[in-house]
Amino acid sequence: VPSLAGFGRPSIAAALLFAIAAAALCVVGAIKHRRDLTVAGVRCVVVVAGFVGLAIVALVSALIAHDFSNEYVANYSSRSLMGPYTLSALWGGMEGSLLFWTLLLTVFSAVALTRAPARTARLVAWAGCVLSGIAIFFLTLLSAPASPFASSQSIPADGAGLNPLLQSPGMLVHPPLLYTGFVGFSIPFAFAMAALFTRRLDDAWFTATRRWTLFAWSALSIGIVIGGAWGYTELGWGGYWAWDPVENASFIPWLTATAFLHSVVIQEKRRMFKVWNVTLILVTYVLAVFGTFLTRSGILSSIHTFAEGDTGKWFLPFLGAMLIGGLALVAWRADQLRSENRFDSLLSRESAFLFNNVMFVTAAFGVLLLTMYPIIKEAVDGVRVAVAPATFNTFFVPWGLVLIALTGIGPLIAWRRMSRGAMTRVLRVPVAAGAGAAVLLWIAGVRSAGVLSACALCAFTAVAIGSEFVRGSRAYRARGAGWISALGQTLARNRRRYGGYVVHLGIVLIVIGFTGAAFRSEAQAQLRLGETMRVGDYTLEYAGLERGETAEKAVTAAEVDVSRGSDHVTTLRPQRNFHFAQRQPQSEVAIRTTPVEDLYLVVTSVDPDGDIALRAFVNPLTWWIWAGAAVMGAGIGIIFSSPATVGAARPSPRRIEEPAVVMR
Amino acid sequence: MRSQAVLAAVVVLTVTSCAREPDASDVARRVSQVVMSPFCDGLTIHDCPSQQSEELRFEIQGMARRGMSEDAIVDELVARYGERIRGVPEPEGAGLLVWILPGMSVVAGAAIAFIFARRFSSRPSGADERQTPPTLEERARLEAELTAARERS
Repeated sequence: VPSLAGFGRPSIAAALLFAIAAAALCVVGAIKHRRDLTVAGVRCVVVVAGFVGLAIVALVSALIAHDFSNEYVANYSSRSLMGPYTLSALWGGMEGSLLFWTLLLTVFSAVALTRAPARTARLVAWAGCVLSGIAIFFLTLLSAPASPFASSQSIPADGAGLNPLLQSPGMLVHPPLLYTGFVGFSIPFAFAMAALFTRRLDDAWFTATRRWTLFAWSALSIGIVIGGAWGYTELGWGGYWAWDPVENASFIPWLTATAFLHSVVIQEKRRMFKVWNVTLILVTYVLAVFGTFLTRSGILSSIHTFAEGDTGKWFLPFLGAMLIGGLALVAWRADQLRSENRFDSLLSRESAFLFNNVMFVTAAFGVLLLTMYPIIKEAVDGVRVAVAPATFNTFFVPWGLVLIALTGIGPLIAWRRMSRGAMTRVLRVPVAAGAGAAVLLWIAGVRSAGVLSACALCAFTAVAIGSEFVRGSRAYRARGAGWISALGQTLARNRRRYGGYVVHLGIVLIVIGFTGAAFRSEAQAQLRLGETMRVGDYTLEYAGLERGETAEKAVTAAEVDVSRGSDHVTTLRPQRNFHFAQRQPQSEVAIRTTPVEDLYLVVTSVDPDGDIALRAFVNPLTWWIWAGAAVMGAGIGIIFSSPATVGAARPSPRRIEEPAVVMR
Repeated sequence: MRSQAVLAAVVVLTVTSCAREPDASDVARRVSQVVMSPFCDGLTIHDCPSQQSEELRFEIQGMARRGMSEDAIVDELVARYGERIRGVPEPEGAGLLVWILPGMSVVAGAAIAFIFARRFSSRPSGADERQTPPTLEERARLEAELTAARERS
């Protein structure tokens, strides 16, 4: 494949020119109400996406051709880097990541603007301005300070290669999914800002972008889980979430986006929370860009700062302008963002959503504060510190428990108002299930308050969700349908609602998986051939060592026989490898996974005479995290299959105002 | 009410009786999870995969076996490598923010939400709480059930 790197710079320059033209045409089109100018502006956005696509092709071709005259290719790839990992070098460094970010932004913008419903024409004009403005910022960065098309000062015989940790299947999908999530929020953000500009503050902006919001949230959720799975299988410390600043950078906007997904339902159903919703999407998008800034600026100590640069001075003014400008717009339109309805009672689904939002937003604030603490501490005391995951857990576990409780309570409460008697009736079975789960675990010997409360709340929420399905399918059962058929029809009738419950069920399973960490056991030992060590109920015998070599690395694999009592369970082969290009050792873990527990082995060093240092972990219930994520994915699929999600007809919110029947 | 009382009893019993005497490996693990590794950026001693960290983990295990408390081991490590390795902020100076602000944000957020909900509540005083107008979904379900009942009869 010939290198087309020469096309890179001209493509970026052309994309920048067209982005400026798009912004100008959309602004004039919006102000003068000239539909033709807006249409021309949107076409320019499509052209911008085309040129950025060309720049991506140029960089990928240079990576495949090992064109080390390109500085980025020389820094992030090598001749031994083959197959799909050549592609992951695209987001292995800062400049490539920003180019990929810009590709997603411009493609999403082109699709969203060209496919927007005709009734949102005025919104499209302003949304086009906002999206083109964001594209101008990133294309300016790519033109000079963070160009992936800079030439090498001297052409090396081989490149520095990609960090070995990034050469894993998880890294082929984790960064693109996170970026898809971050960038996806550009669309609802741009339409929200357009709604503020045009004073069209009804629900048009979020119904037009509902699918985008869900798409971005889903990509971010799946990306976060895959990142956890990558950390678990690649980093060799036995865990899946380290509260690393870059992990937090994706988690913080996820929290506010989740709050938004819930609160927007209130606006849809009751025409309340208008100011709150535009503010939430603004904050979510600013946090998403901030996440990109954290990942790429190297401002915080992090295992993820594979690519450090000086782009921080560009990002901060951009972030500041977006946040201050956005908040000023909200304040400017505040009088037109008044709620059209009021709370009927504190005991209502609206209240549950409101408190859900309080918990999500304050959790985001707490995680942000702890993430930024090293910078605050350095500014105040001049000492550079880091915050241990244990500190994050101290704060976040109580939040998580309250949110799980709200996940169960929310669907049970009626809109508008619910009597205490009715509330007691619907809560009776789930509360009994929660209490039953806690008692059973207590009898089984569990004494951790955190685990007991988490499991009780998970049982409570799972039964609450189950009871909603049972209630929903009752009418179909009454018509003679079987249980499975009735549940299927219930799910099909309202896919957004019941798909949401399936997502909640996935979250419950994930939380059950988290509780397993409380029962984790671990051991480490220096072993000679034939020696054994114990971890949990397992006996591990160091049975052999194999050495080999590939073009990229020297491989040393230990053979560990695993037995429980007198039964041989399995043989695991953890590796300690040495990567030639990076001159870096790396451990490849070996895991035996079951729904009950994972046995996780990692060799941390190998002596020249063949002695190994072995770390072993028994991680109970970790399997349920991945199972829960799969259930979440299924729920997301169900929601996406709903006609309501794609913007089809839905009942007018006014209809629920009719108090035709009084239930006693 | 009975199930709520059982739940409350379980929680109280749990909180009062879950404490058990930690052994040396528990102490060593907890220390390695709250002290940052001097050899890995942003990782605790527990999570850092480097060989030096591994040696430090063995050393911490030794200290715990000799009967040193968690605080004493942490102080020893901080004295050796500096304040930068302390992974749990001390509740003083800038660290105070970490311990106060998140909790305050929840209290303030909940209070604002509560006031907001109360202030913007449109329920007429003295209204019967049992009178709950049905939502659209409830009405749809009611109609479906009535239809099914009619079909049966």
